[in-house]
Amino acid sequence: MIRRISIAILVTACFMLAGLLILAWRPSIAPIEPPSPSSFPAELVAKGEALSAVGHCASCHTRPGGQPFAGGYRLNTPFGDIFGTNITPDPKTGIGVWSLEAFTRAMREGVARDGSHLLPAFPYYAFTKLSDDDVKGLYAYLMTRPAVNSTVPANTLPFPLNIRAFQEGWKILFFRSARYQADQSKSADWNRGAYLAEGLADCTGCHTPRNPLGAEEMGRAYAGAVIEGWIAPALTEANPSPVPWAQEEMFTYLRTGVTSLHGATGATMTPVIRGALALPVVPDSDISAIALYFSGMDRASARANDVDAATREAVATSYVSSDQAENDPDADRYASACMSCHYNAGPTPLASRPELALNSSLMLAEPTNFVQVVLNGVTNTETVDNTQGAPGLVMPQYSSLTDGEIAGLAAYLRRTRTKLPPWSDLEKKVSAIRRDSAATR
Amino acid sequence: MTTFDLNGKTVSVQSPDDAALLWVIRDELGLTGTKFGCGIGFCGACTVHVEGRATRSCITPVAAVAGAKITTIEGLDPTGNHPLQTAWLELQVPQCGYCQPGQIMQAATLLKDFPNPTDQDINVVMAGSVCRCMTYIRIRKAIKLAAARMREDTSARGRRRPSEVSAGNARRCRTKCRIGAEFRRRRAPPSGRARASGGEGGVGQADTQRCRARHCNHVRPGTRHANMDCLRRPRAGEPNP
Repeated sequence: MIRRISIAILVTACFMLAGLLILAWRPSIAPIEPPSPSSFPAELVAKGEALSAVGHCASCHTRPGGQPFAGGYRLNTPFGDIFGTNITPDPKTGIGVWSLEAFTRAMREGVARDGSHLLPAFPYYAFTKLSDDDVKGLYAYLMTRPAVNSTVPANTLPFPLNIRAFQEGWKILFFRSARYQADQSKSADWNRGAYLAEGLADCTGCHTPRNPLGAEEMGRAYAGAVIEGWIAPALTEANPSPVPWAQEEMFTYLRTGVTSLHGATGATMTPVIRGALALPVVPDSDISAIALYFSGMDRASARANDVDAATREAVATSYVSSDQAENDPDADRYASACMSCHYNAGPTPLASRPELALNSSLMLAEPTNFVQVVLNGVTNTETVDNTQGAPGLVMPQYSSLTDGEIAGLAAYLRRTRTKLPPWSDLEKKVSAIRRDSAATR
Repeated sequence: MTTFDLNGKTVSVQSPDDAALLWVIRDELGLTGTKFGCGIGFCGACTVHVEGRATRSCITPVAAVAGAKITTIEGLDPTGNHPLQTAWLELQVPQCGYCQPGQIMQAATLLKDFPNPTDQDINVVMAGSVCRCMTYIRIRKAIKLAAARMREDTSARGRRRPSEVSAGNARRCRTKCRIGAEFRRRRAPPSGRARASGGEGGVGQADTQRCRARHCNHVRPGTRHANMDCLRRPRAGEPNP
């Protein structure tokens, strides 16, 4: 009896596996002669360049210090390390022999030219929303880049995740290929912003939490997520910044990387801004549309009433008198090491003096972002540590402080700059972050 | 290898990426105006400007500033006549002098952000710059003096060019001028030739012109010369002095 049941289960499993492998099969598309760059009209290439900037293709397909689009960027995922591929028109190591049909299939269905499935680290689930013209533009732009012969390191995914055919299972569960559908109840600008954010920039890819299988959690879009040891804050009205994200604020932030009412960019968001959204090739109207989309998501205009009062209140906390410093060693540490740069006198903070009481890093449920910045500082150029910040804003590394001292500083700032409950296990968390960020260096 | 702009010149350094900017500036690049005090970012002696903002160079790895503009105390002003520096000299601020380059660099950012600083602003922004000799009172005075001059300089009035100084004032210049006295001493004893050139005690027209050209535009604010009528532009309605 048991034997029969076992055999039945085994046979069923084999049939299911066979079924999956059959479903997973995709035809290979024949390689073509690499198209000559002059065969693409200049305006199509220009359109593709602007799209590629908003989609920040270079941030995942370029190694720090490497040639643009030649791949090799290492993405730490819970499943292992995944390396961005070479998408220059090199025939051997890049996509030089990919036809437009192959490229479109990759973008819309996540299938490579040879029929193998692509990992969802490549957000084909977003790019599937792009229009035909936009896909053609991107193809034209990439095919006219300098070809770079560069082989990318192999991904370090364990068995069975490294079997590409099994991605079909992931797709069956979590993916549907479909173009963007405009929301008729919203303005054209809003729809443009939604199209760019959802279909191209894939903001949800970092700002939405993922389930154990690596798919975005349904119903929790933009609720915030952990990315490479940092927290990408929520973009809904759950965003913890004391001042809401009005459209102008979001526009300034996406164009320059810093605003006086929210602070400055850091970690993996920096290349999205500095290397992509802030580029002159992206028109202001596109950034304005994205800003409109997210300020709506943040319900900023409904919460706009108390901005001035909140700002004044925040700025007042940046001053610590010598009496306060004498009585509290954490306040003293702040006054000696932090206050000269983080002090503001009313009524509005200067953008070059990031106001801690308005900064999301002190408002999040975990102290991760705050601790990362204190330990690693903020740099001018891109490093492997994700320490690059907004242009012109450099912060030194306070790694010479002990774990206990940083924990005390974090607790002090959380207590005095916010009205939120205290963080737990601070010293342990500081040690863990220090250990992990040294490890990835 | 890291490349950045130092006081207006592009430099490339061989120090490792995690070497502190302070040591790169002092040891590899030889600019010793920036000082080591504590090595942990708590005393301010190491303060330099990164992209114009005061930054503690002892805890800034040199890789962090690749491609950025760094200014040290040596580069704050090409002739060493930044209003802070002249105020510092006039008010005799330094005692041992060790913390002073860091104090001045921090004060420069203070004045950029707070052109009319209150006592609280000064206390707070300078809180991270410590002075063992306790010359804080003079530091505060010098900051306020420099702030006042910087505000005045940016106002519309400004200073005359030497060619605009009237002859009468030039004569006054010649008789009272300490620099003129130098000329007088050099040309002594007065001779027929000296008298013929028209000046009192040997300082002639040509000398005065040379004096004015050389000194009027380099006269330090706050000195006797800067406040002389000949060098002030008249306000609207005032007679031309």
